[in-house]
Amino acid sequence: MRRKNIIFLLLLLAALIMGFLMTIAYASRARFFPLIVICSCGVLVLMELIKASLVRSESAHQDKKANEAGKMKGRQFLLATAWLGGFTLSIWLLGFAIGMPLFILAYLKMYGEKWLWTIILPVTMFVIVKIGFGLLLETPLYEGLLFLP
Amino acid sequence: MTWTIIGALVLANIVGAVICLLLAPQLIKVTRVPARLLAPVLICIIAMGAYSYRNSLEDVFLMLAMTFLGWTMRQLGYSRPGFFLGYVLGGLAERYFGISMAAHGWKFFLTPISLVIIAITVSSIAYQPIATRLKRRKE
Repeated sequence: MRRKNIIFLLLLLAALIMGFLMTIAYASRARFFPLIVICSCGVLVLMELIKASLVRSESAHQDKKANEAGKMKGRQFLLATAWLGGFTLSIWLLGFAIGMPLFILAYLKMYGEKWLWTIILPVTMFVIVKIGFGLLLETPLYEGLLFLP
Repeated sequence: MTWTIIGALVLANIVGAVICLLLAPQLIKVTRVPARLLAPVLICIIAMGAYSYRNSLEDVFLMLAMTFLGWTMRQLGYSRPGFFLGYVLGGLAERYFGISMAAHGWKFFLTPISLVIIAITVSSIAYQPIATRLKRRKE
């Protein structure tokens, strides 16, 4: 957890430095407020970073417990990432009207849901997307890379 | 005209309250819907909401990136409401800060209300570390 926190803080610091370099090119009045925010955030992140790196390593028992919990969380994270990645890919390739119902169908079937819900929910989503957003709200729906002319 | 609008608002609130009270036992069942049924549908609706703002697929990808940021913050124990408040109020703060600076210049920082706000901000940041240190010293 401590190592992850340090990585997250370093990433945050990198983002702040990037923001600082981008903001410095602005006109003096426009850059004033963002610079105040970036500098104060930078100080807080540095303080947190020092605090995180000074914390002593937990005891062996706690380390083992934390490792087990970390592994479990890591697995959950990978699973969620895989599903979200699949969701993104299905939308990107097949568009909203087909990609979304397909995602729901795959998700429900993978989690062993009954056929009734596995059919009702994707159909409902198709109706919401195609009729609700596409026809009634006149949103130009993304058609997907495979169906683009 | 004004009283008609006020009357309509009062009536709408009364009717809304009655409907809510009557339907509460049925509406409460929504909370018992299993997460595995809700999750995919919610992800799709949220993605559609993100997309329909500017009709841009980039917004959907941004939404997914923010999902990971939120998850990471939750795992590491950072305040997500705090981040969200900063995100929403940041634009407003910048605008009104610009107006105040244009009107008063640097003296803006020395007005009583500014000094009070600065004091509250500093004390709210400093309170937790100082309180923790004092507690440790007592133990």
